[in-house]
Amino acid sequence: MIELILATIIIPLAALITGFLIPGVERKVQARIQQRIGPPLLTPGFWAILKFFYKEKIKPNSPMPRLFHSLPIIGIFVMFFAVLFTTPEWWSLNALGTVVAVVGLLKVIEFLFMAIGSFSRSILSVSMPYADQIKGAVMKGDYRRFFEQQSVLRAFKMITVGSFPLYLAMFVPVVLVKSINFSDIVQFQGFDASFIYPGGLIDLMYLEKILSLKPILFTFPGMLAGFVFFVGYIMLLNEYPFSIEKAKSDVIEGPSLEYAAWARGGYYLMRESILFALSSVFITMFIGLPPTLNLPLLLVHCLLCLIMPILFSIVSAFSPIFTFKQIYPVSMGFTALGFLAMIVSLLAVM
Amino acid sequence: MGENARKDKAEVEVPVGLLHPAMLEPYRARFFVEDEVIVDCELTLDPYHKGIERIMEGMPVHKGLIITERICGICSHIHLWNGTRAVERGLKIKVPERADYIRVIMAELERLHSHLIYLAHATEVLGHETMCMRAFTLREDIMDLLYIISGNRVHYAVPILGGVRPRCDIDEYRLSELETRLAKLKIKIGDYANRVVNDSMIMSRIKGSGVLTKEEAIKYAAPGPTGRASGWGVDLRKKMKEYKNFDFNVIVLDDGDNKDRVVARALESIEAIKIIEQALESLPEGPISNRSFELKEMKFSTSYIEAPRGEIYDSLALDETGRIRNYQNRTPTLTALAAMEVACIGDQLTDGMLTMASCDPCLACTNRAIVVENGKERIFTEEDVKSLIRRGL
Amino acid sequence: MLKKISRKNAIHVMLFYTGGCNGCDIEVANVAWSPRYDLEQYKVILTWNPREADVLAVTGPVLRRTIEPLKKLYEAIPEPKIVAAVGSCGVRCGIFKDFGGELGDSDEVLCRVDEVIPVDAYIPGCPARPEDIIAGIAAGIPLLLER
Repeated sequence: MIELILATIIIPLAALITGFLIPGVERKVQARIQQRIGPPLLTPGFWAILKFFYKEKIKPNSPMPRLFHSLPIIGIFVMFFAVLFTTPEWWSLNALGTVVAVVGLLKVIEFLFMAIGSFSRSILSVSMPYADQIKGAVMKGDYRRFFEQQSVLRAFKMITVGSFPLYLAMFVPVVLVKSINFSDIVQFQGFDASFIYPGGLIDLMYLEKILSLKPILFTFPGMLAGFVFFVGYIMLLNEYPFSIEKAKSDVIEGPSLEYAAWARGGYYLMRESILFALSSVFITMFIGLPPTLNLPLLLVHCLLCLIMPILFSIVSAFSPIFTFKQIYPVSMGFTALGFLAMIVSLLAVM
Repeated sequence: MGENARKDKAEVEVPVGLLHPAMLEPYRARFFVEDEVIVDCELTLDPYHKGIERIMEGMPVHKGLIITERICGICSHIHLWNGTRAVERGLKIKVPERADYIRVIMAELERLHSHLIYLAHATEVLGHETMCMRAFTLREDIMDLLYIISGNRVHYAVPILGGVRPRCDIDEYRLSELETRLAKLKIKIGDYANRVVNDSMIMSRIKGSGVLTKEEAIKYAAPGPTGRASGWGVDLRKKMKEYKNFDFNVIVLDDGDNKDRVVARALESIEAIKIIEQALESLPEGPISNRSFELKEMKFSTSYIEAPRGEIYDSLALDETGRIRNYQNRTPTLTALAAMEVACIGDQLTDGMLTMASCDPCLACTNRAIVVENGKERIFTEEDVKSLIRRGL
Repeated sequence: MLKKISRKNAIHVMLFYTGGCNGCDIEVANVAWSPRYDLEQYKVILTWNPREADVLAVTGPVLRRTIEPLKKLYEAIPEPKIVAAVGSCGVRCGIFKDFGGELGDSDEVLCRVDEVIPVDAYIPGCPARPEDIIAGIAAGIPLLLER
């Protein structure tokens, strides 16, 4: 019981600290690719958020301000639960430690982007005080759409199109292990109870044990699935090149335009927690190292969680925004690759 | 996408503007979309109207011409040159050959910096931050050259009536700097263009979007590189006497899509470097300005010039004391953006923004007057304009 | 204490063009995007969203059609905020005011930026140099910390 409570406190804390680093690492990698120095590691992820908490609280232009402001907090909690479901301490609690539960939580996140966008009415588009409806114009639009509403439509499309690769990839280990429980998935890769409570606190045994893991990632279907997961990860996060939902060149920032002060900090925290949670789920499922109470293991886990953001920041530094013209074929292609991984893993099991 | 008849009703309107990363300058675009596809587009271009033509009425010509430079902060030299050129043509002032060469060198340097801003802006609108920053890196070298020659990064004030300002003469140091840096830059710009053209992700975005056919380009009089990318090969530089000593190609491309507009600029930058190299090789000796002229009454005089974005038209008259009368200026963006209104029809909304940016809009010079009657805005409709024309205005 | 450190370490700059000639606008964008100047290494980040911004950089004189948007954008920025008027036009209306010929000034050019919204940093120059823009924003930071 104590372990459960400790895990519930310490693991989200570790997630937060790693999350603070991730945007900085991401920005730094991009900056180095762009041949400039770039911001310090903590600036985009930590100090910016802290600064927003110290800004004036203003009422957003929103039909439902309170709900609008509470959505990022919901997102943060949802993502923390997604991480907690994968921890060994929570397996004993109930049947929540399954891939299906995490998929359900990720669906909530996808929906949250839509909800955020539909409650926001930014000054930057329709409500800009500027007389533009010209008398002589032939063309008449029935309804004037805010940027956020445009991005809600896009988010809706992304839910249907963009989420196939991620979820397909997440079910490849399930097929290989023949179980949806995280406990079975990590045990399949060689993780057992002796990992959590070995002899001493700091011991070379950890390294040996981690090296003795047999990750699914290093099998053929696992490698395919890992690749597909990576693309799905970028799609779910709406990062370049799949950032159509918040494409800077036409909807500026998309759903989050109206967040100010602490809510904006909350929104960034939500993004960080999604980043961490998805990486963490990947490490758990494909490398077989769940976040545990064991601090050295947790440290290794958090460091491994930085790999995915670094990889995707390299990809996003070299890619433009895709419109749906490009997203449909790309998504279909990676879905096909996911199916291939699924079939290969089915053959491997049989 | 000109063949599609323009409809008169759309589901939804997405107004974009005044402050937007893809525009940089304030203008208002109303995109009429059905789902994601643009059905029509309408631009309102007046927020920037400053009434420069009116300020200049009755101003001494030397003072007034400096204001022409402040029309635009990107192609400032061209505006000043064109104003000066109009007066020189009207008063028949002879310009020394060396001065013409220096003016051409500045104009081509400016074309380089304008085209590189274009490449940076277009890639930024594409969402490709890395390529945007690389274009800005290349541009800094040119800004340095402009700074070395004129002493300012923008607004160089090089031409003066009858020649160029003495501080802008190209001496040994400036000559060697120009030669060494441009040689390097030529390779770098070529590499950059190759990198853009060979990137399949960028090409998937810019190829085939925002198609402007040759007929549409001629109909809307889309000038400069925008028209040349659609196969309409007009380049005023071929007709100007200042350029007759230089050998350069007019870049004409056929597709008329965003890719061609980007590629046309990249190729033109290389041509611009060629012109500068030729000018530096055969830079004639002699005086750089001719001060032996008299300001007298001048009939209406006009001048057309090839600016980085297309053609600029300036016309003005002088009264007997050398004050400006009836200054008029028409800049290329006015028609280029109008053509883009048609070119973006049928594209995705995100591509529409790119198309808008791909004609290299420069709004500072473009904005036109609005008429205010009894405190209410009155916008001229087609009938109004026709009636005005009938009344002889 | 933490408040000051956090504000010092992350500053978001927003740019609004009220109607200059484009020179200053390009220079501000240049400061942010050109790797030579690289505004981000000084912990200053360019944004396009008023809800996120701390510093509003205004270039150009205030024109008839841009005065309302300028006021609205200024109101949309949550406190604490500072305003930097960039370029001669932002500071003194530059060449477009008090300079007219026989017909006088333009009616379209209304006033200086500081007659509409309080300005904290004046960055002169036609156009303002990138170094000056960085220095101007840096000069405004102590004000930001106090508020």
